[in-house]
Amino acid sequence: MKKTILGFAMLSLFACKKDEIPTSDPEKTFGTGVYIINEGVWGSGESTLSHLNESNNELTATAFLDKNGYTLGGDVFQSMTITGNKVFMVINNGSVIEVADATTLASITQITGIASPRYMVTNGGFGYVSDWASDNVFLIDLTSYSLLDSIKVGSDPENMLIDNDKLYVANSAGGFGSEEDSTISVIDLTSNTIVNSITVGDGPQSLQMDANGDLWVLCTGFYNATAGKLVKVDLSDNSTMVLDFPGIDFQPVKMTINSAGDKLYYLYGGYGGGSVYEMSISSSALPATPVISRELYGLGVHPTNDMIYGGVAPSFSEDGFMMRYDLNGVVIDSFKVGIGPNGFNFID
Amino acid sequence: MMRLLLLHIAIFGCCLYLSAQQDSSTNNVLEEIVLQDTRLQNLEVGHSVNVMTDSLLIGGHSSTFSELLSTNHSNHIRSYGPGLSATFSSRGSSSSQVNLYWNNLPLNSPGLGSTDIGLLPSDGFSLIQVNGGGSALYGNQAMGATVSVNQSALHDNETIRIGGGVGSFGKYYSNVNTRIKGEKWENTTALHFQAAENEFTYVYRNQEYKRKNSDVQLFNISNDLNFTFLKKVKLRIAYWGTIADRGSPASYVPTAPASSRLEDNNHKVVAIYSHRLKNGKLILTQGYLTEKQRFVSDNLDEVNTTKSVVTKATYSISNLKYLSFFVGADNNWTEATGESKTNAVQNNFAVFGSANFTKGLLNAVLAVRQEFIDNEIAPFSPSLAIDYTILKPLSIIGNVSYNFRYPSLNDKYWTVGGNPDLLPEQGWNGEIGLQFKNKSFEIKSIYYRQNVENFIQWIPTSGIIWSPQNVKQVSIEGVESSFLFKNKVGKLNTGLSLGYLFNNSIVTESVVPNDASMGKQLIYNPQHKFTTSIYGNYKGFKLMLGSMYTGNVYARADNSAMSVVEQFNVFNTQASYVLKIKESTLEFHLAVLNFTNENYQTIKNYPMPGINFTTGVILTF
Repeated sequence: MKKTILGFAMLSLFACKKDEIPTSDPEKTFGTGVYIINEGVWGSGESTLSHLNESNNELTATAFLDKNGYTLGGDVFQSMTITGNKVFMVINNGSVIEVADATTLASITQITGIASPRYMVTNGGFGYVSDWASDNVFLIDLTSYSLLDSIKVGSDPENMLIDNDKLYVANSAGGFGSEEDSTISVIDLTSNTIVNSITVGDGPQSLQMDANGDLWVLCTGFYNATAGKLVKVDLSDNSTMVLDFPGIDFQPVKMTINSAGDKLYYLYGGYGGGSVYEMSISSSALPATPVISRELYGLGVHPTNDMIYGGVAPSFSEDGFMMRYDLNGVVIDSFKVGIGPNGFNFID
Repeated sequence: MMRLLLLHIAIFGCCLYLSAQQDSSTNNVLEEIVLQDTRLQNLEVGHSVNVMTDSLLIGGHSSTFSELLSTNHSNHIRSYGPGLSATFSSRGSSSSQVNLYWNNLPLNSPGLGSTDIGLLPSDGFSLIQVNGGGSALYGNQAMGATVSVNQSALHDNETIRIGGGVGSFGKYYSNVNTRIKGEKWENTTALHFQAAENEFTYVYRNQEYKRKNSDVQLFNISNDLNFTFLKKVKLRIAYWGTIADRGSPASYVPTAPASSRLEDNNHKVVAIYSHRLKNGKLILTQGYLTEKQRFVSDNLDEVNTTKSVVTKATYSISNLKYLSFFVGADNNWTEATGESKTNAVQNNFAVFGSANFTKGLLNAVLAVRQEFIDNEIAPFSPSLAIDYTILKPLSIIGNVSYNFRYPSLNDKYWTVGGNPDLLPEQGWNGEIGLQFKNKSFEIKSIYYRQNVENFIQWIPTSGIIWSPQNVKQVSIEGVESSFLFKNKVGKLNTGLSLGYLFNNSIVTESVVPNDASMGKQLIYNPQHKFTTSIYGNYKGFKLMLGSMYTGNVYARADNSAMSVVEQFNVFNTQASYVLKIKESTLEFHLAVLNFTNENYQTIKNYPMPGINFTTGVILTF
């Protein structure tokens, strides 16, 4: 009897072989190439940063984890900004901005104090971070990483753009719950105060500056209520040209621009993304057909060779893909990345 | 797979016969409860039944249903932390495929479709869990298991039981049970209070941090009034209220916002009228349940409430020689209100019946149930269960049933993303096994198989909007084995219990194109679970030792090695001493939980506490 009990007790120490997690490789450097932002899933800390080395097409799926031995602090890795040989990774549901070396991805520090950070832009030694929780844009000192100031803007500040000492903030509140906003806040960076508010369309989401100095704003429309809009703002007099999207079923998102500044790209026709549409800045009508007909979740345009980069998210519980297309929309290749690839950062 | 089956039969085969006496404290009370509940009795035939009582739970005086249910090898608990929100699933199913019943009332929230087992105190409670399909008798959600919740703190000669104590991380608790009775009536009242700061240490990026925002204040009060008229008529009026104020912590990332709160305010009241007639027994039940939950965070302050009105009538006919019949009708009207729901009302009506044939070595139950949900006909759910005695203590048990789980009110009516067109999850469920039961031993080994069609999963249909869809077909298969041994030599009582579950829950079909979860395990279902429990009781001194091993659990549908909740083994021990002072008893106890200081999680990135203790006293007279 005693032996049997002992035997069963031993069974309790029965262990399955642990699955292998990639081990860190301290010698690896990243730098030149493409960083892929993998959002992850709300609540489970699955966000990762992938890296593609363009010279040999080597893809490192979990570059930050490989270098540091631990994962990013939280999930919903929303965006990344690169400046002064550092990367600033904005982790929306971790309330943290991870700072790391842009070449080696060695972790430097974490910037805390912003509850729901979304995007970051930089100017000189300062960073500007949009925060959904407080509807503020926070001013950060990029040497000491401390929060210096906060500027109250509209509802759910999202993408931003700096041009000519002015910071343009898209106030993206799109009708979920009760918040709605249709404006761009304009902040003068010499005084860090709001100097103007431009009304564009419902739920402004992304903005780009074109080669002519005009500001383009892509608006999603209010959820289940109004249609999206693509708005061109002439900054000399704030006059606008408005192009309407058909219907309220889908929301246009993630507008980007080529390095020449004469072609706009955006996603439309899916959920949180869609097919890729291309439009010349001299056009006065929305393109009828997409240049890439595949449901994409992330969009980028290579600054040197104009390749179109698409992030594919088959679901939020499995790894996604990065697809590369030539400028005519023909597939070149694809790579497996992390969950929900939503954006790309290019380093020359 | 075959080797495991043979192993279980081998464990089964080697049993020694020893004479022993039963441990009287809990079994008599339970038998009485079971005898009174014909519906549960009918369900138990041909099914694997596991009983969990607070007296055998280490730390049972200051724990919740979360810890109590986790001692059962067929259950997997997912908890955000000690005393915080938790749900459980049985035999590789989901937390919406189990239901708990208290006095004929379903405890699952109509909104969420599951019970927060962190809200219910373990002290004074016994749970009878019947595994496998039970929709034929209990209807909606009885797919993985059905659990009967019973309160039984006081023994027949006891009037008051007052207990209290303290524990690690700022825990303190107190339980009071009283009984007064007259010639034809009896009233028991129970109060349970527990609170804890829960700022235990954990490691993140090689640094130690204190867990934030995991504090718990939990208060439960219940009252049970029973009348007996003319020996044939009984009336019970029972009430159970739960009030809780708990933190809602973020994951282990120290910078994540740590200020969300969860307030719960739930009440249940029921009247049960039972009348013994010439040929049988009529039982009428009328119950009313309300729930109110408030979630507060930096930019949200939301209250969600639900109301349920439950009406049941059953009639059991038991005057025939070999046959007894049981028929009934249930009606459950539920309503959910809150900022996140629109028009969430549902009415479930069902008629059901069962025939129980008992002759000689055979005990069989055939049951059928037809439920109607609003204007829809729910899947017809029949079941056939058999218990056949091969040689006196050894019997073969088995059953086959068809069961369903209707989508919850949140699944259908959540303002952004709710899908009112959802179909119910449904499928066949069967089990077969051997059971050996005598005064000293209870050994069983059951092979089960379940198929779930229209498996509901919340998937993102846009970047931000998630919506539940009937996406998959899941095939569940496993073996459940347990060994229970009780012995008494002179004044020494000992007991040993072991339980093992092997389970595979595999996605076999999916409507999502190129679904990476095809052929993979369902998330949050371990393939292995092993529990042990040993106790020795000598002249008032009792020592308990227990362990719980849970194997690796996938947190990602594609079973990526990047996202695994690692296997863990937790060891607990408790020593207690009961002092008899005339008619009263005074008990001292000290429990050390997780005494090997295992770092573990049950939900990915939500750490559980390392080694901790609780100690207290109980006075009974």
